Amino acid sequence: MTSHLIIGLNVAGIAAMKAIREIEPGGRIVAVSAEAQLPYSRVLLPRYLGGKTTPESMLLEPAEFYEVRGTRVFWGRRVVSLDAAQRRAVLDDGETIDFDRALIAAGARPTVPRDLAGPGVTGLRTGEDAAFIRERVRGGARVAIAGGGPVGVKTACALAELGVRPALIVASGRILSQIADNEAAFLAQRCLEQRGVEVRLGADIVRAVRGPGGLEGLELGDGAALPCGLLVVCKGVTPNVAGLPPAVQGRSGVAVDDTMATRVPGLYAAGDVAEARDLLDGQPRVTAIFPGAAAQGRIAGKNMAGATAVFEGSIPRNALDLPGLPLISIGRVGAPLDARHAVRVTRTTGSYRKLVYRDGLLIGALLVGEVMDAGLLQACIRRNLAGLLAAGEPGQLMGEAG
Amino acid sequence: MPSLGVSESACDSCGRCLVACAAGRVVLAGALDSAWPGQALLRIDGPAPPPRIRLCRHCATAPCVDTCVGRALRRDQASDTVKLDPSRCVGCYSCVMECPFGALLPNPDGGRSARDVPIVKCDGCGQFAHPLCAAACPTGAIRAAADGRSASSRARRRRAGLLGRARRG
Ligand SMILES: Cc1cc2nc3c(=O)[nH]c(=O)nc-3n(C[C@H](O)[C@H](O)[C@H](O)COP(=O)(O)OP(=O)(O)OC[C@H]3O[C@@H](n4cnc5c(N)ncnc54)[C@H](O)[C@@H]3O)c2cc1C
Repeated sequence: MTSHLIIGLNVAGIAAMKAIREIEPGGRIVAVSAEAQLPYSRVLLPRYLGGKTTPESMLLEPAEFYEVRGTRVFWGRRVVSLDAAQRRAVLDDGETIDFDRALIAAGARPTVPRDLAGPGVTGLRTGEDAAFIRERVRGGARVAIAGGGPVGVKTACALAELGVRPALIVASGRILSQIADNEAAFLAQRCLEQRGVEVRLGADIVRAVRGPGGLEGLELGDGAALPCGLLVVCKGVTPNVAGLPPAVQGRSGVAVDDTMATRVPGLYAAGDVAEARDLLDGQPRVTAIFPGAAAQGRIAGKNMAGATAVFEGSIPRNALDLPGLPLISIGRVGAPLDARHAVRVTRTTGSYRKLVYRDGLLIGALLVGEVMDAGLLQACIRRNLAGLLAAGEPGQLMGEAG
Repeated sequence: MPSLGVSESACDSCGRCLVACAAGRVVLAGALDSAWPGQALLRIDGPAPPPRIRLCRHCATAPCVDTCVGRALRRDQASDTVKLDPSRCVGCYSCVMECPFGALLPNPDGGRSARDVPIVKCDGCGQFAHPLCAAACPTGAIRAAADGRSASSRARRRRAGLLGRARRG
């Protein structure tokens, strides 16, 4: 019987586990999970910070899911090296695991600039991070959040609802610069400010100022000083590739084809660690989103178990549930002002909708307030982008939305 | 329950399905054990031809289940349907973004009803054998397909990717 190894157990690893079990009931699956607790939904961490959910409600699967015949999980252990030729993984305590096929589902970690790292500075990726932030906030620390992307915005919002009045420090000229245009960003920013978030646009953090008691504040690019005892850095993620054979590595993560296979036979990758094909331009790229990790994990699992499944490609997309103001961004939401692109905008009281077309084909949608059509639009965008790629007419990179 | 076949081109927007769904949910409250009594769990956007039937197809590989961050949406193997557990739904709109049929409906009653459920969707009429919308549909736009409980037909539907034969456009 084939033995499968899954490295990292969250959205992607779990999806693969399910797919393998479906094809090979009772098949041999060994998973190594660096985190000791049952896998939970990271998307809910901001909610947890805001006291709006419990650890139990955050679990991706109940405990029984991991206690199935044929499955064994090494909790709180880490794969430190992977020998592709020998098909052998070495764990942090020296134990070895032999496998026929392995899935790299090690995800990613927050990117924290080296000059900021240190006491009082954290990302938000794990339950531990969230517990640390909660403890500091309870202790009365003033909080700053670096990064105006979806995670930074959600974190700021959650902390504001605790009455904390965090500062959100954003390098670009608007929040959500990768997923929203000026108008949508303005609506979202107003929503944050009404909740008590202090938004600072176009602001760079030059230096973290530390004293004997730890972090005391930040020095910003314009010379301003921002006193704070805690900085949460939400400036994107870095794939966890340590210990992996160089042959599997892509630009930043693990390069995969449409079957989620890496360049090394027997090794697959899925989720936030994987560089899969982006439908916007056909290039491999990490699109670190939950539904992508689930779909890729399932496809990897199927292929590992001998079935044939093909990933249809990633579309960058995000759903943001700001209080009273849902915002969904799909595909390319900023368009160059040229003859091939067109934009249609509709506004009503409380809603904003922008559709982006290339050569008359819908390739992006930005919905604020009224989001019910998002799924229908995504299906259409998906078809169009796949069609453009097949015709050798890929779109371009998203860049900053215009 | 039997699977649902949806054919939007056959729909004339008469709205009987909506009435049957909403009313049936009151009358059969016990049998359906519905979290949404008195509310239609589908929508017809129309009448522009063909009308859009926003009704859950109970996909075998369901994008909404894939994306559900709170384990609120699950495939129920016993009934072969996609179920939403309102008590786990956090209202993140991820499922709304993923469903290609637009079948996850932000609750128009959200915030006002006793159960503050952000999203509503077809519950497959619970254990009730005949989907109410299909029974009420005079044109065959929504059909209860032949009972698909046998393993082979379930496998066939799985291969087809969707529960029921959903024709689009
Ligand atoms: C605060 C926050 C909010 C988010 N909000 C959204 C959202 O709204 N929508 C959305 O689509 N996505 C969101 N995401 C992203 C989403 O959570 C990720 O896309 C998803 O978790 C990716 O799953 P994964 O399984 O690929 O990797 P991960 O979740 O990163 O899991 C990988 C696991 O592998 C472990 N691991 C790493 N290295 C090793 C090793 N060598 N050996 C063993 N184990 C290892 C890690 O510790 C981790 O437990 C959010 C993320 C965060 C942090």
